[in-house]
Amino acid sequence: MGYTDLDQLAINTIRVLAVDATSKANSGHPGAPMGMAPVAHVLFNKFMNFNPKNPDWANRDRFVLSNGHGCMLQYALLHLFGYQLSMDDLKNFRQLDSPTPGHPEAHDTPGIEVTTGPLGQGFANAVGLAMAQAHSGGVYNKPGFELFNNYTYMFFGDGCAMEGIASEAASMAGHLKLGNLIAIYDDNHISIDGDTKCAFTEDVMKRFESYGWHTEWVKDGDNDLAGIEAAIRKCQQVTDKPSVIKLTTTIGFGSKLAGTGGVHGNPLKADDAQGVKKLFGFNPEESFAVPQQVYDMYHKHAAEGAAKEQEWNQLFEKYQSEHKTEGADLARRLAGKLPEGWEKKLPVYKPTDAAVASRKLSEACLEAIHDVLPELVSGSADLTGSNNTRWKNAVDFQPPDLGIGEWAGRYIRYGVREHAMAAVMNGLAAYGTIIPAGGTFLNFVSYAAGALRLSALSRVRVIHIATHDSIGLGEDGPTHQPIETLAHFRALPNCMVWRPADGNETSAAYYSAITSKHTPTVMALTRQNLPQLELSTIESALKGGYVAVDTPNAAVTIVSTGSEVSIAIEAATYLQEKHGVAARVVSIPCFEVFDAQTKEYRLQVLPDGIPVLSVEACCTMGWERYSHEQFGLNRFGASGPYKEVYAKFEFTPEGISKRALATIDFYKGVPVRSPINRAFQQIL
Amino acid sequence: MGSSEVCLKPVNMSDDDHAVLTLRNLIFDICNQNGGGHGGSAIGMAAIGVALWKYVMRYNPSNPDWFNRDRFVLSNGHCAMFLYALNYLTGYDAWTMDELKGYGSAKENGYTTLAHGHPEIECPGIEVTTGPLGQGIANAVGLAIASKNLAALFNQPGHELVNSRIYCMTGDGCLMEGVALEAIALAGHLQLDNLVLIYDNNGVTCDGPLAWINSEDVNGKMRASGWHVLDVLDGCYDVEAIISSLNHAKCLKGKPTFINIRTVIGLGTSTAGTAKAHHGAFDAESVARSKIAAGQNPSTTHNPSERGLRFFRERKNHGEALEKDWEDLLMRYACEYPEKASDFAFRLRGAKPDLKTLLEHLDSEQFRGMPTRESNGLILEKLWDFSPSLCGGGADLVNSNKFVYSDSDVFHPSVSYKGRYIRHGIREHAMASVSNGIAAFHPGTFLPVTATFFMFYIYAAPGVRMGALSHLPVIHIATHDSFAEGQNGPTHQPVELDSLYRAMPNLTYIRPSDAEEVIGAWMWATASTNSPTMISVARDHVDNIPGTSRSRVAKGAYVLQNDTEADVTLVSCGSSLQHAVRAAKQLREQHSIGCRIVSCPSFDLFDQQRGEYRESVFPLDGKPIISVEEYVATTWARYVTASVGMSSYGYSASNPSNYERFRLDSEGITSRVKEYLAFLDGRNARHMGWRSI
Repeated sequence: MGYTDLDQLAINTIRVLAVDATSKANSGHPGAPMGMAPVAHVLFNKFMNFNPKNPDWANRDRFVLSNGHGCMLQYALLHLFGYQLSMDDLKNFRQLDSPTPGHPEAHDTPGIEVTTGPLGQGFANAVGLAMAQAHSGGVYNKPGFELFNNYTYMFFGDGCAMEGIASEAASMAGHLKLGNLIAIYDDNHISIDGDTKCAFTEDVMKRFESYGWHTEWVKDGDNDLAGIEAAIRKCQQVTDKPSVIKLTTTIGFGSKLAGTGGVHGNPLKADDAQGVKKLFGFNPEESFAVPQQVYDMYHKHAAEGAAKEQEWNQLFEKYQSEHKTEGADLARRLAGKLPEGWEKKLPVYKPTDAAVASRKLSEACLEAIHDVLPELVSGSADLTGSNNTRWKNAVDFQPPDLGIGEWAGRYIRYGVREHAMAAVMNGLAAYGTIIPAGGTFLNFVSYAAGALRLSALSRVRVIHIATHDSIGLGEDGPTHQPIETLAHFRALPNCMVWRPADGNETSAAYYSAITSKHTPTVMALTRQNLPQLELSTIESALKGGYVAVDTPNAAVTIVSTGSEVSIAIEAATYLQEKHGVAARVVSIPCFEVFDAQTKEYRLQVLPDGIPVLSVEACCTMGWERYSHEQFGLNRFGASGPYKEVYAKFEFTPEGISKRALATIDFYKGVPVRSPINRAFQQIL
Repeated sequence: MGSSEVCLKPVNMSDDDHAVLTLRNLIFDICNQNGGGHGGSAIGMAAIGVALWKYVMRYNPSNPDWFNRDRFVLSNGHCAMFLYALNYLTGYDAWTMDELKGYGSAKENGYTTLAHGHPEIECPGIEVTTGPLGQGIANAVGLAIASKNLAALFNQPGHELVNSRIYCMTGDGCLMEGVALEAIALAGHLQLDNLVLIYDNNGVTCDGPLAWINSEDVNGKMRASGWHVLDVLDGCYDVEAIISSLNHAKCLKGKPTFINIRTVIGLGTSTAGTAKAHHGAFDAESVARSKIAAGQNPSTTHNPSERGLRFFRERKNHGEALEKDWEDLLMRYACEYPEKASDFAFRLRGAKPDLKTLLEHLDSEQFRGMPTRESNGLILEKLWDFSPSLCGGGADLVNSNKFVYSDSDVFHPSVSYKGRYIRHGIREHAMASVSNGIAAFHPGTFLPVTATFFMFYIYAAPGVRMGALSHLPVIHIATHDSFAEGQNGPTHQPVELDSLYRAMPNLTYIRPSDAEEVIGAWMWATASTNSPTMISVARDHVDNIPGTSRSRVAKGAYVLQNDTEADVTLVSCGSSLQHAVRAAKQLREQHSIGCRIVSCPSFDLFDQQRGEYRESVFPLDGKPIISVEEYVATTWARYVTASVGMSSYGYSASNPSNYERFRLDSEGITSRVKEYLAFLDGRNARHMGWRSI
């Protein structure tokens, strides 16, 4: 199909809007939107199926701007196609509380699928979205009912191509043969520091070919609209590989500084902006101008998208009557509801039950709930046997022709790619039909921190099964023993860190993680066995903290988490027997949940008048909020069998008792207040 | 098998084959001595070990620190026993059989061993600490950069003073990790032809067959990244082929070399070729068979044959001779090029010019009002000219980081390998880990510097951690550390990341408030020889705050404005300090609330001070002490009674509006302090416990 002046006008409208918005904000990145406007126009207007009036339509094509700094491109498109994003919103680009922030944020702006900006993240998110499509298609599609067949399109630039996370994700996508993933590489030769040859000389397409991708090259991405269209069409025809189109473009096309680093991250100078408008036939004195015929063309395509959604809705209705079980299940998932009564399957433990490592307790939860919770998709970064993330009859998520799994499989082999795993999980969760859980050692969640932060910021439900959570992992030594990790993740807003002390607490952690629809969870789990506590119940653990040993007239409260709670309980006995000192013990498996309880409750748990000692075998930072004195480990650990490592650092009943006595002594005669007593509520 | 039938006849096999078995048998014993370990890959790599240690690498077991040795990095660090066994066999003095027996043992009653679960840099003959996958490859790239740079600076015709080649061993895991892929791309771009990456291609990972998780064409990927690729099809037995490829790699110029060697994990045991061989003990029958084949008594352990030992131990004399030759070369060099030789000796000693005096005498007036990222950049520029060991660069944001360099100083063959400025590209994680490698080349020879936005040090966190764990002095410049980062929004605004770096042991995190304190931060960072430093600087302009002191940065925190009658103490750091100072003025002038002000650029340094000093800064008299910082404030709770901070993410908005929105400007601080004082109502703030206000 031929391209007309109207197409060119639309492209130039996008460019001029990017110039105007960045100029008005006096900050932002005009270069990429100006360079990528042609491909965006072709893609959105010719290929993509979406309904701006319902950005949540389940089978819409997904679009991810991995080079998120170019977000004015996306905002302009969303506005022009009729999403709920007004011209005033564009004028408020990068201003406080506008839906047009400096980088795309999924929870702020209708039509944005995932939050991007930190480079490489969007690339991996798109792989996750494409995996979710393949999985959902595998689960639900039936002859005559192609419910899930959408494409995932993703733009990325040189920056993303250099980031390790994108390489990890690209390798994974190639292995998984994600035919519905089409990436467009903005080959503009410019990064912030100047020409990419300063630091980037590899053959990107060859690298993608070796990952198992289909590649195309459009040499004139500035003008060759037909070539762009043909390339995308070819990629659609390749169904057993992901595709990447290298699109050679001129950054800041139309500007005097086109093709230089000068247009990457700074608004154009006023005269340059005017020049751009003149060049494109716009009134240089006018800003934020959109020709009506551009709106008309785009609204027409939007209407086609709305009609496609209607068709899909009818198909889905028919599906629900012909495939009642699957139909009801999908309708439930799309409504964001969990299956009725799923939580009753969570294991419950008695104090007399055997001591079990919490990574095994986590496995027991997965084993118990995976049948009733079909949206749960587990996996591991090549530590399945250590993370205990796979239920017995799990089927791997793999392309069926490999003969080792199927699309409907619910166990993902992420490979040794922790960072990509976390970002792929963000994409899986954003798709809307999956609750992803993924395992690695807690210390290696640090590799994934960049992605975990975006889970929290963009409010998606993902579960990190983080085993080997302390020096208790033993022989692997300090390279594998987390010290500062919990302090980091506890400081991360909107991230729940659970460190359960026994079976009931582990079940509570799962209940909390799965019911918290807008919050990621990190579960810190042990390698070593933990006894079942006397007073733990799922209900009390779900308060985030509770009294694990109550003693009248206690002289000290020992507050702890995870593997140290049972040692603290032994310490309480030791204190009573050896020193005649009464001690209470409190377990706080999750700070975030505990903080959400009423003050009365929290004060019952940590009352006034009794000094509090915290015990945790990692960095003490952050414990001051619950305790007067802190016992922890503010240095790196050591390699050795776990009991000896614990003994070396005195995480023993004796070691805790010694510090409890010191705490009692120090606060003798001082009327101590509970750390819970606060003047004000925090703003959340 | 009955011991009476044990065959101890001399074995009819080549020395190489016998050596491979000797190594394997020792690995079997180390692995089985305490019921298991990561033995499978080590067994599969034995022929590679023989080729490298016997025929290819230049090293001196009698002096593991010989400057011009080839460096070996075990990126698949879990196979540590491979390295330990070879260190023993070739005769490193520290690596006795008793040390090997320590692998996997209980470390009770003060017992220690060099044979840790993963190789640790503190042990002789270990170049870098490895284990977290992918890190070693990036370290190796750093070592190769260091060697190239020194060669370019000092080698003269006929006087190849520095020609260390870097050999790095990798498994499948490292080759999947993003940090390794970043480093591989960088090495290709930099054309580091002194680097050889040896791929133990055994097709198995922890979870099972590699085909479950990876289908890529590894050779194609490496070629696309600018590497030569060589293949060895039988890496289990064919020592000759491995030697040939390693020697061939020495002739390949202009690119680093990747050698793809096919091996079998757990070769010759009951679990050979499966994931079960990855970790655990080996079956007795297979071990016995292997020992018999080598003419060893299968009923004994840790007992390599004379023939095997002789084969390896010969390297000790060989290494001593190599070093002696090099010493002679150095003497001749000193005669011919006395000036260069003295510069070289300076680097060899790890000496630094007198940076302390330079920094002490730097006039901070010239930086007045400047954002700390700018004063930091100017200070770095001065130090750079003065100190030849400084090297490094940023991750594509150097204009924003204000890391000034000249194009002629770029480390790249198109310019010169003499350059010290490294363009890391958008590869934050590799940047940190490559820098660890540069620092590990030889103590003090290099002082690497990295730079990116503070927020993106989250990508580099495992690399920074490895530097801290390994005691490597690297200086990380983290810019844009405040909300005034320029409207990029919450994806770029750190609120929690300081918690990570303040909690990380052996890393000094410093957040200076102005140029004076930036100078102090550099005084600390350049003096540190066994820990990395992160200097966190901001994009916003700073007020002129009287009393800030470079020399007191080393104290971590100090009293900036004293007032014995003060009602409250405000403490802050970085670009927040100016808001605290303004708030103090407002409290004093408009509300008659007297304020003491403390500047606290570094918790890590403050914690090292004596108790009396710490109490003099943060008295325990029950008067309120309030911290001010735009981060999640739990970090402050150990010092103060209340905190003005964040509990949510930031927002994309203009700088002043963000401070207003989150009540972090002087108005906001003032009103929060007043609310807090009203709540206290004269009560002892210490007794009321810490709170976020």
